[in-house]
Amino acid sequence: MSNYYIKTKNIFGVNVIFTEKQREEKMLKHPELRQESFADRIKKTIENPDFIYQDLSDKRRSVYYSREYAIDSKIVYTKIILKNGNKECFVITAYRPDYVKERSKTKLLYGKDNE
Amino acid sequence: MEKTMNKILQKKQIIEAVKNIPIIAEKEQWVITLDKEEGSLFYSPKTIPNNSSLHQITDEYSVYFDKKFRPKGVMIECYGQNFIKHHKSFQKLSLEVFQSNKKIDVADSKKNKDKQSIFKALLESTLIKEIGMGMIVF
Repeated sequence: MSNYYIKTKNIFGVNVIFTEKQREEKMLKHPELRQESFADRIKKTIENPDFIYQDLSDKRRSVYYSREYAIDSKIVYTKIILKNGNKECFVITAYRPDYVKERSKTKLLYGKDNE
Repeated sequence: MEKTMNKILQKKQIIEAVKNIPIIAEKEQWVITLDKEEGSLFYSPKTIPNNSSLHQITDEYSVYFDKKFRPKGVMIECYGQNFIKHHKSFQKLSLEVFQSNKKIDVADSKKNKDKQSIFKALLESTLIKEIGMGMIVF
């Protein structure tokens, strides 16, 4: 079995790796990571996010978002926290919140977050 | 009008669900987990069940609910960087409860049992107090 759960390039052409070990560690508290279909959403979000924020607690991290669907006017997102390395980025975790924690609190690095 | 009514009903449902957290947590033996790498604190079963979805409750915390809107776990993002700064009573207690060097630190029920009970009670009352103060985001 491959050690990579996901290996792709982000929108800037940099390699992004989400290891199987990392996914297994995080899926206990993020049940989304146990859904097969979520892998595809993670990959698409890395490759083509709607917007990217700087992480609230660590400037070396960025947070990728894709809008998924809306329930009662609340938008549900795929959210991915990435650690930026010199040559590649690593996925710390991913989940599906109905809010954007970073909105108005940290720097928008890419795209438009106009909710 | 109907939308507004639905929203009020959902808000009431959320408030009731959060108030039930202490009973559910005891019944399902929830544990406190600090993911230092992610920066999040979880108060949940060891494994949050499949088909749970994450909803923001206040600016400080969110809850995983099942399809019947029963709480299945609490998540506090930016626990060390943000939450603890607004809730000073957790500072010392966190150091006592989370003593391992592991990046994902699950509070062990065999050690520090009293401190963990205090931590859980403080956390439960904080969650309920914040929705009671009208800090709910919905």
